[in-house]
Amino acid sequence: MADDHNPKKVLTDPFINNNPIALQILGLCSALAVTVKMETSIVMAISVTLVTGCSNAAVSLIRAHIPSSIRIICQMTIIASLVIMVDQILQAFAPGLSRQLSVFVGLIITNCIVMGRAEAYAMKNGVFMSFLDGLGNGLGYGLILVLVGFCRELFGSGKLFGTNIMTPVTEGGWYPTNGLMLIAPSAFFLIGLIIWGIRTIRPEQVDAS
Amino acid sequence: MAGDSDSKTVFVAVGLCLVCSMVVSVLAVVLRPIQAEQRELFRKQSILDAAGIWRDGADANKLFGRVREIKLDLEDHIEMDGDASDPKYDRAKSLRDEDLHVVLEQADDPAGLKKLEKNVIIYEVSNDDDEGESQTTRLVLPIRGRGLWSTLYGFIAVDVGNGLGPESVTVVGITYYKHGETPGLGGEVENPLWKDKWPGKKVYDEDWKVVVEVAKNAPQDSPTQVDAISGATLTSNGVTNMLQFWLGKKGFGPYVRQIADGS
Repeated sequence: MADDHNPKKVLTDPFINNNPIALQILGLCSALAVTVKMETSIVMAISVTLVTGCSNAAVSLIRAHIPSSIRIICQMTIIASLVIMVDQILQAFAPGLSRQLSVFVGLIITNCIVMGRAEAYAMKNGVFMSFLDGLGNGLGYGLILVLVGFCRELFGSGKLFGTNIMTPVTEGGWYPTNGLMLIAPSAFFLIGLIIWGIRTIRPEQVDAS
Repeated sequence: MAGDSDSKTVFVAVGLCLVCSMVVSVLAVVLRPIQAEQRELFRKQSILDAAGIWRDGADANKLFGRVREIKLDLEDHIEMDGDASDPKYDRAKSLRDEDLHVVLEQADDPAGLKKLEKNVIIYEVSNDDDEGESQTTRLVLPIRGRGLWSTLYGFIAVDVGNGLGPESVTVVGITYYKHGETPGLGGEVENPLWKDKWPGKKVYDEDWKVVVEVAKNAPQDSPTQVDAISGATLTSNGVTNMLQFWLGKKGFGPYVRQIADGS
């Protein structure tokens, strides 16, 4: 993947072939925390995609001027500024979601995917390609988030986007909700299953042992 | 990139920080009024929710037309005239200014407040299905108190029978709009299913003692007890304690009593 300059491939590779969660096993922490519901999963996916895309583009733009001795902290400054911007915008225009996501928007700063891409790709490639790479990785992360969020909300509370799909027993329906799905460890199981699935279809992803 | 001079390193670092801080500050300043508006809207929504008249998707500002602000002196328990935007009604300012709060003795302070403001704004919600004189007065009272990790801020709404005595006072609803309890455990104070257990509970016994409380395994038909949140004993106790305080003698008890005694 390192020297790939085909825009389409750079954008779509991280979906399955080189998924940041499933293959690189990065960004798990937030993937556990915000995937109880579809709504929060999607907002988080969009936020991370914007941050990785923009931070990659910004880092790439000034890559020739960043002294290598302080390059990590420079990337960090750019990423932190972008995350604060996303947080502020959410607080202003989606206060309910902002309350539900609470600290996890701020914690995008520590998401390894964002910094990993800035350091591994944006420092060596052009602005447009870096932007695509950031978007692709953000979307790859988002894809897993939405998948996990879908399973957790559907089986954990019988709903999707807060609307009843399988009316839970607590609201007079038939579906006994699966409490395990509402707590963080279930995301581990789901992500594990997803990784298993992907590696069964793409055996080349299996780690040499 | 080899051979970066020290001066260039400093120049890039300072330049980058300046640019980033400018962008972030400008955005924060531009968005502040919108955020303040959203917070105010959410506070209004919490008040309406406690009073049982909030519906999802409704216009909080419009519904708030049914709400009257009552400026209350918490020492003398009387309604005050004057401007609600007076700094003495600002809780944060009152708690910083020695003239505007009293320090509570530990024995008088079950909710762990330490300081109590002297002035507070409470809300009266009119029943729109009543013509003329209503039998009951619906009050929304701000409450706060220590839970396990944090101070919980919220509102409790009560119906007070005009001149009908202590046992006419019942809970309408309770909401928390700000807290830092564990999501899924103490954070369940926000859960609509738990909040639904509150309406109708009796607040006082015949001697004006606060009897409403959160208790483990309380049956839903209990007249005064609300079932505790499982896994959140300390948050549940915190809720009981803050109701003890705010509905009691140091809190809104005497004011509620004036209405219920018909004076």
